[in-house]
Amino acid sequence: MKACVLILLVFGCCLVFQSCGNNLPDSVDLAYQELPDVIDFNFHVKPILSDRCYTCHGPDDNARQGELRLDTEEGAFEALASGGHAFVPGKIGQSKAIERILSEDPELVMPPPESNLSLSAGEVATIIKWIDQGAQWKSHWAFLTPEKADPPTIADSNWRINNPIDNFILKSLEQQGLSPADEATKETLIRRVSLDLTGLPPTVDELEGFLQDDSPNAYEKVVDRLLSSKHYGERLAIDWLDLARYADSHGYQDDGMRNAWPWRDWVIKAFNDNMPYDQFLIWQLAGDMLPEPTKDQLIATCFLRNHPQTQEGGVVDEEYRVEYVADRTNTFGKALLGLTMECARCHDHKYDPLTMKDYYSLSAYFNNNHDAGIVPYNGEASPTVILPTPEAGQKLAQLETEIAGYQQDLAGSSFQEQLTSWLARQDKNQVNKLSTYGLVADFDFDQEYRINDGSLNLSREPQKNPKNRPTYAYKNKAKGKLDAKVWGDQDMRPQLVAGKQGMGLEFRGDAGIRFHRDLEFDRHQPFAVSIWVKLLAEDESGPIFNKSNGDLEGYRGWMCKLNKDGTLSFQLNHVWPANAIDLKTEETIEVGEWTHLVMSYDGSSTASGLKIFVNGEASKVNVISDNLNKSILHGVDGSNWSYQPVLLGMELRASMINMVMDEFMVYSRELSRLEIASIYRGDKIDISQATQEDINQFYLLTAQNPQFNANLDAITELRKQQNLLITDQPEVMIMKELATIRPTFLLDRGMYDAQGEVVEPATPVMFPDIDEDFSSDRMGLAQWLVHPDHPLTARVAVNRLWMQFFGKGLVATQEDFGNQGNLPTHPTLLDWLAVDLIEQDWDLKAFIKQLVMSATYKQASVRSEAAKERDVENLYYSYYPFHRLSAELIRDQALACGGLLVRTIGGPSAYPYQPKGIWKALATRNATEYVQQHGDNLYRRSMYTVWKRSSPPPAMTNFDAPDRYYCVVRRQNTSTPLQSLVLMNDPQFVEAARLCGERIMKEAGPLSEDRIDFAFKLLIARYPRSDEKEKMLSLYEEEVKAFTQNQERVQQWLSAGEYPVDQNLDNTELAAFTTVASTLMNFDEFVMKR
Amino acid sequence: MTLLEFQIAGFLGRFHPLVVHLPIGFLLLAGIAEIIARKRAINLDQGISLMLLSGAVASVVAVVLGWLLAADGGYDESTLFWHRWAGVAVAVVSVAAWLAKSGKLTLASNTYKASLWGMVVLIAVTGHLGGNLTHGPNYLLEYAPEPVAQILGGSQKQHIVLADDPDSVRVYQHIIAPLLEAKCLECHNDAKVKGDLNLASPEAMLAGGDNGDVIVAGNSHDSEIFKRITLRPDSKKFMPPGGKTPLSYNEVKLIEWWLDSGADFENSVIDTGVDPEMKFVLAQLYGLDTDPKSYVERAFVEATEPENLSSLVDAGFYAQPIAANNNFIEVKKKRTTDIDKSSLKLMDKVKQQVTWLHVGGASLTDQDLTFLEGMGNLTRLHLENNPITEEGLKVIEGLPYLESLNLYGTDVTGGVLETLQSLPSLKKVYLWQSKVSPEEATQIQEALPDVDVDIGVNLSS
Amino acid sequence: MDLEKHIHQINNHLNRRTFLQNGLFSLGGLALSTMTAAPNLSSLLRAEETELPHFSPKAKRIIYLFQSGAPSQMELFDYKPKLKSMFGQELPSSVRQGQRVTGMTADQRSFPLAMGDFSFDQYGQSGAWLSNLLPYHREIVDDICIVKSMYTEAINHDPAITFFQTGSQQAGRPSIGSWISYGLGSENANLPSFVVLLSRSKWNGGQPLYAKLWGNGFLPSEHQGVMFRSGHDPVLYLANPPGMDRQSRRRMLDYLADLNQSQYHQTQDDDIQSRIAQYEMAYRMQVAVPETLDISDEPDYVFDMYGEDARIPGTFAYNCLLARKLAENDVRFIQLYHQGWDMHGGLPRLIKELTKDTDQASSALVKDLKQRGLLDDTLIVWGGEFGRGCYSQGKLTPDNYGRDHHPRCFTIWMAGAGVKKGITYGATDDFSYNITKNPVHVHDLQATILHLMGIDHLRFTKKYQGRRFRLTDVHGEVVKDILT
Repeated sequence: MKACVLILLVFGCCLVFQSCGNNLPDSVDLAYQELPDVIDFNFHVKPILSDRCYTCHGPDDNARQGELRLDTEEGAFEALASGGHAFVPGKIGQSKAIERILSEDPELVMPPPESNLSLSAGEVATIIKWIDQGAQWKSHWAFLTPEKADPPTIADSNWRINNPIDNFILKSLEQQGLSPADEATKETLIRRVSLDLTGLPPTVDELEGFLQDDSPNAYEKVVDRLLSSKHYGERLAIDWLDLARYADSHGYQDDGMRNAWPWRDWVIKAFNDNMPYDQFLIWQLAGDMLPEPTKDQLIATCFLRNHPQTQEGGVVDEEYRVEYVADRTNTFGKALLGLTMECARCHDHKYDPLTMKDYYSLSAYFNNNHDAGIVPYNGEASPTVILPTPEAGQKLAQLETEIAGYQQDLAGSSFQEQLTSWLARQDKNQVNKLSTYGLVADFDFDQEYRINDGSLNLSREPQKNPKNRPTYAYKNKAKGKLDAKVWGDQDMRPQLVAGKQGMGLEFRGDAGIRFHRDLEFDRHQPFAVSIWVKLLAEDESGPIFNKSNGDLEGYRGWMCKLNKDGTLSFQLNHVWPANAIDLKTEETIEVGEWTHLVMSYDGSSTASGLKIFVNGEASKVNVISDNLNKSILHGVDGSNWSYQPVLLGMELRASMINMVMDEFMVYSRELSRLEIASIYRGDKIDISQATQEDINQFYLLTAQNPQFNANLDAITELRKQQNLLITDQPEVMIMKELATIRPTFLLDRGMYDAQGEVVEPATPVMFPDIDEDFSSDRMGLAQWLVHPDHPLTARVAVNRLWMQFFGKGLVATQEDFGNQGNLPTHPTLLDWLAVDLIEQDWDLKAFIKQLVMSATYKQASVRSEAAKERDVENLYYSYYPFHRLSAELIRDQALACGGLLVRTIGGPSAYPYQPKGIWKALATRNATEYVQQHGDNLYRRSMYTVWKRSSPPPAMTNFDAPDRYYCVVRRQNTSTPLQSLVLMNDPQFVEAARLCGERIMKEAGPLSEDRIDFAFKLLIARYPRSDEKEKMLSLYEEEVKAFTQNQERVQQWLSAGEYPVDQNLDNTELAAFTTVASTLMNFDEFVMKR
Repeated sequence: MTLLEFQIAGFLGRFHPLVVHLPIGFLLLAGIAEIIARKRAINLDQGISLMLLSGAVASVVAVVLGWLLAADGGYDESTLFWHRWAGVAVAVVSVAAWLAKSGKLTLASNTYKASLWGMVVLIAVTGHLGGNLTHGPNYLLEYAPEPVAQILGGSQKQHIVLADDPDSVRVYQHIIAPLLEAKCLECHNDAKVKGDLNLASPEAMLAGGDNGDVIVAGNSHDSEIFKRITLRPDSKKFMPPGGKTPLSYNEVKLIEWWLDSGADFENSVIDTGVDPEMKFVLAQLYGLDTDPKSYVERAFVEATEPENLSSLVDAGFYAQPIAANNNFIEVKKKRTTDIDKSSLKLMDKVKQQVTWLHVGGASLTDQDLTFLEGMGNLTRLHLENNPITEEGLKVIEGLPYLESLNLYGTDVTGGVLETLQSLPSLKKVYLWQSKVSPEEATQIQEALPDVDVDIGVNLSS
Repeated sequence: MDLEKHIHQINNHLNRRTFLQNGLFSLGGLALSTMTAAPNLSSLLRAEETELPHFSPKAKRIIYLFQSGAPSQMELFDYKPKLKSMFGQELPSSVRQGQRVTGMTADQRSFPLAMGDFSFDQYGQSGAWLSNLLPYHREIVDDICIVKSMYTEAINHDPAITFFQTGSQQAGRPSIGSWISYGLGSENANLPSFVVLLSRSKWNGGQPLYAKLWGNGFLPSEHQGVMFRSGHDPVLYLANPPGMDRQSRRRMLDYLADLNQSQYHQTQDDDIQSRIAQYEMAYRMQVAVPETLDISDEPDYVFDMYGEDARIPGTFAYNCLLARKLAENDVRFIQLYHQGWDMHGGLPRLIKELTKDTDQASSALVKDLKQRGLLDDTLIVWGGEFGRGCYSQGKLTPDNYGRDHHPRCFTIWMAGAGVKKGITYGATDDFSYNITKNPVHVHDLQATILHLMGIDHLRFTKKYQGRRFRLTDVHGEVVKDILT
């Protein structure tokens, strides 16, 4: 009995044990063996989960399926609604996730077939091994504050260690069983470090000097020389221009030009002055919020204004302003945090813990700039800072002091007596009728006169093409003649109806009244406008009276318009909204009642100088903008893009409806309070009731006091000169906070008009909260960013610099440190460098010196057999990672070798050689002509070449330069036939080759062998190998033979470019050497950094 | 039975599952008691006989109730048969055992012991069959772990896999027959002909069963089979009966589609015609894509060795498969590189694979065209701008799948009609700038109405 | 922390040696990218989808005739008699339902219906409607499929054209030409796989264009569109500079190749081999491109077909003739732009000029390709970036009006490979303001174009910044009803 029981028992348990054995498919089994012994969550498992699962099981709430969330620890291990757990540490059998991964049933398998995603055997094995080893979770490496581990020790003593960087690199080489390459030759080293630190090759003398100098710190001397060179700042600025999406044109539809080069100069200067990197960021993010910001600190904020801006007529302004705010947020995310922030604009981020709320809370910091969506064709997009030339600066200051002088004693010493004698002369009950002094326009619109349009010329010059069609004109009582006519759709002209006094004009839309050009005052001229209006219908809006050139010139001019909420806006604009005076009344005008409006301006370009009166009383206004500092009639050099005369009831793209206007009067002086009250009451001025101050004002303004008149005229004249001078000065876009906080909304799917809840400025919640309370504005954001505990800023900065010197970052995806980005090949080194940079309080030059002094950097770039077999991607730096030079460096190198390079730093962009009609082919208006410059500007460094977004320089885009529409932190690196065509046939390179030919003949003595040596030293910074020398010699001889038979071809071959040919050189030889130089320019070692 | 009785029987029958547990308890207890008694050598006969008595009584009652329950039908015949008689056997043996124990019947002790163990085994079998009757055949083994299931032979859920080209899938043979086999043949096969109906073969089906024609070609609503599978599941005549898993929605639609389209036994899916509804069903059940496909997508041909392709490429041709995981290739003479005639024979190694062939502007003559011999899978043939005539084209006569023939700029005359007529799937022929006069072209067009004869712009005007 | 075994195993799988052998070497570059930057680690774990085309393609090449500025559908294809009968009356608000209008007419007070004196009739067996502005289209009506129910979301030129060319309104994404060049590579090593030709109406400067429309976005830069310019230097920097003749260039290239070979032995860097090959390809291009673009040997009947304009470089007709020659030479994607269709005013006069520029040449291209047997595997698409409104913008007079932008109801036509011939698809209401049948979105059109090239738009992705980008973003359905 016992036996059969025993048998039963044995049979039972072998049944049970067998069931939960490892019944994996054999392909997974096979892969399982080959996995590394320890599986690390961050390096092996997270990339798989993120790439294959997070789309439906990641941070994005409304895209989540089956309430399963695998991007957080709780989500991955909690009990599932459908029973069981996704992952059960140590128990594959019970892990539902494994069951779904291994299932063959198309309904159950994960990832589902329709997602077009699948898991390879290796990946399945990785996850299974991770669970076997206890499914230990780690939070993402990049969201934890970096710590500084001390550099590991190295076993092999004769491996060179110059600084801690080498310890980390050699440690990982040791682990991989690889060994570092030996040091590069001196020639390679000086060329590599010169290009890396200045973007220019070593001159022949520098090369020779370094070769002869065999002192131990010869290399360090070269490094110090290069670090202090002014070209160092240019080299670092080149990559920063990509990152800041710098361009000389606005982009989008009409792509007009902009004046952003002063910001580029600041970047170069900041790098050359070795400005600490944190301050470099703070100035660019919040320079305008520093106490009494200097010009440089203001210019720095143009970093946030470099984004494309539209000028396309008919776009919705708010839609594009929202687009600009989004661009600033995306750039801040990608450039400084290394995160793909733009993904969270329309939905929660699919892979990183960034919600839409995070995105719009971050965008709130950038939503308060006082700018507009549409930027003008003529004039810089405001807000701007004006950068007068030194001479202009002095002249303006001098004018300012003169004006102040007059203002001290405006009415003159004998003001009191003259006033009393004037009062005495008034008639007995001291009542005066209205003064007509300065009255230039007085229209009662009581009658309309049918005339031929062409017969009434309202401008000072003869009419260009007078229209002969019937229209209607109106009488100007101040001049006693017809002085205004209908403007716009004649059939819709304003109707004569009962007015305030006599008849008035009812406006019906699509038509208005235009006036004589004499009424077009500029900001230095005092003037006043008085009018009676009656609104006939609720919530109408539109222009009442204005002299405005429309959105094409930033609404330049002066304007009074009715807003939808019934309030009134009065503006004097150079470029609305920030280079303007912008007032908005608090009170609203009632429908159906006559309202008297007066705008009186004293010519001071200040908000206090613009007084608004409604129904005779001063009206309470809030000042939206008080920063008018350029002409309100024209742009630079008196230029205009669009012109509109003084109009009633109409504007470039809008017109008024349901409103009656009457008694339109314009004075070429300020109106006094007494006069305004009397106009409103329609009776005489009663001095007896008036206060002394009102009397003084009335007395002075009606030109009773000759002293005052003279002073006022003098001031006006000075202000005119000031206006003309300052309007021509260059200016650059900056950030400038609005007076009132503009609410930021969470926008559904990123649509400008789909406004959800209001959000406050806040930094993303996923970051560990840095225990310091920062202000909720851009300054607070900048300080949060550069705080030492911040996990990303230093790492991203360090990785970008490493990429500049080694061709690729420790993290290959510079634009994405999140879950989908690459993992650092040397995480402890990255953290060490990040903390080291902070500890040296962000000193860039010191950091860079440490990089280039490291043995890792000084390695040769020849790949060893072991490396070829085991590390073809050179992840472990067993040799210097050679890579192609960027577009700018290739052209600068050619110019430098030819001795053509003009080395001046900064200044406006240059217009070098470009194919004929390059801009004309695409653009149809605004900046269509590419006018090539001559002389020095042909040979400036490539970073100064003018950059038009819609047609960037083709030679540079062929070498992977981005088109600067958005922030790019990592350029592509490809090789295409178009690149060879540029190097062979671009006149810039052919001319440079000729100049190299001239230097070869002049500086290397008569012998061809020496000349070939010199050619290599000049272009490749080394002596030629024997086979190379012999090849180039035979090429030279064959070319000479060919050229001697065809002299005509010699002249043509030497005719490239505008630089004159050195006539006392033998042309045939020169032509041959030009071919040799051109060949070397196409040689691999010229284009590559070996 | 009268209505009243019928109900009582049905009502009482339902107590069978309740009562049946009593005999199990008593009789097993009796067995155990027997063991204990022997081991401890104590005498429990009195108790044991009591247990046996009550077990016997309970089992007789259970048998009666079971009989009543079986009456209302709906159970699987064979399982019920075995269950019924096993139950009766239990009752008989238990009575006998009781009699033996209580001395009323003299039995040798080991026959008694044998009967006791026999009874235990019988109880187990009956209980298992009873469970199957109520919960379906694989009730016990459904969640058994893998090895256990293999050992005890649980039923595997088989996954029907079809060829992925709708043309080669026969509706009856590949879809309907397996369906019937899975759901109906258990009772309607050659051996067991319930309701005198055998669905195992077309002839048997057409013969029909007791209740008239099972299949009415072209009209599913009149077909008995369709009626039976679309009744309310709890109706008596619903097929499949007795708790067997009913046909799913898709399966019913398949039957309906097959019946409505004429219940043909040979047609392929394409011949039967697929409406959007069926397209969805076929895609969902079998992953069958029934969009109209061109010949090169339907047909299959062996892949050629890569060297054949690279040798053509080296000779200046463009030679690549027309799509990923498709072995047909396209060979094209590039316009800018001319090739020498000898390289044409390189194509001999890829005769079956070539489907798109461009050899325009290669100054080929009639003799050169022999290399086209045997290219059975050609669908597009570009011979434009070659000095060839219809003589040379004899070589392509009868090509079964040629759809487009480009003869623009050749010396072909009206006589080419004969060759064109020999091409069954020809759709387009281009004769611009050839020696075919406009009149001849119209004749060709009339002779081949569904071929698009393109004579191009009239040069003479 | 050691990644070693895992990465090492995958490195060999991605070794570049395999790429060089498949012989499909061309300017358009390989179907795969020859990027030398370190590949993204997570993509290391699983090589990207490289099996293209997914299924047997109907079309091998595409000619896209983009009518920049948005032609007005009501004067050309979409016959609306009501516009004439209700001339001058206000657009019924029931039709408009307060939808968003561009800034140009947003504050226009009245919306009078407008239509010039254009007559419509039905032509061909298909009975398609055409206005008298398109006489030559009558000859190809039975070969084209007219889609009258296109719609888009963008109503301003810049975002709308960018949307059509790249699938997204914002800048930064690769254009459709770059996607197809990246996916299918090129069949002619001596010519670019993606060519752009520009032309502009003499009468109406029209809206500008921008290089991003044919940019490669995040795809390798060898897939960017190469603009062929009228004039002696069709491709920038193609022609040798004066004084450098063919022999001298050959000599220079031979020596350069020697230098590079010795450099290769020195450094063992595979890229040098690909650089040597690039120079050979550039050398061959210098001959192939001018040869292909030389139209001097075209017989006269060609110019009778395309019209006399076809002799003048830089015109639309000239570019259509070049398009046929490029198609014969297997260029993969030929993108034409004709600027000048944006008519906010003076439409009746201007539209006559624009149709004169384009009508004859467009239909000549279809006929020419058809008679050469090329239409079988070439897809032609004709259309603009959005439609125009049925009401007049600005002052309406009997013989003058303008039309503002309108995001729906615009018409494009397609012809050739795999597209049904002689059908009209989709319909609009009496005012061509709302779509009433079979709306086709921009993404649907893109998905259909990719489908015809044998590409499943759902599976054709490029991973960038952690996301698998598609031309059709997350939308798009193949319009099966218009496919054979």
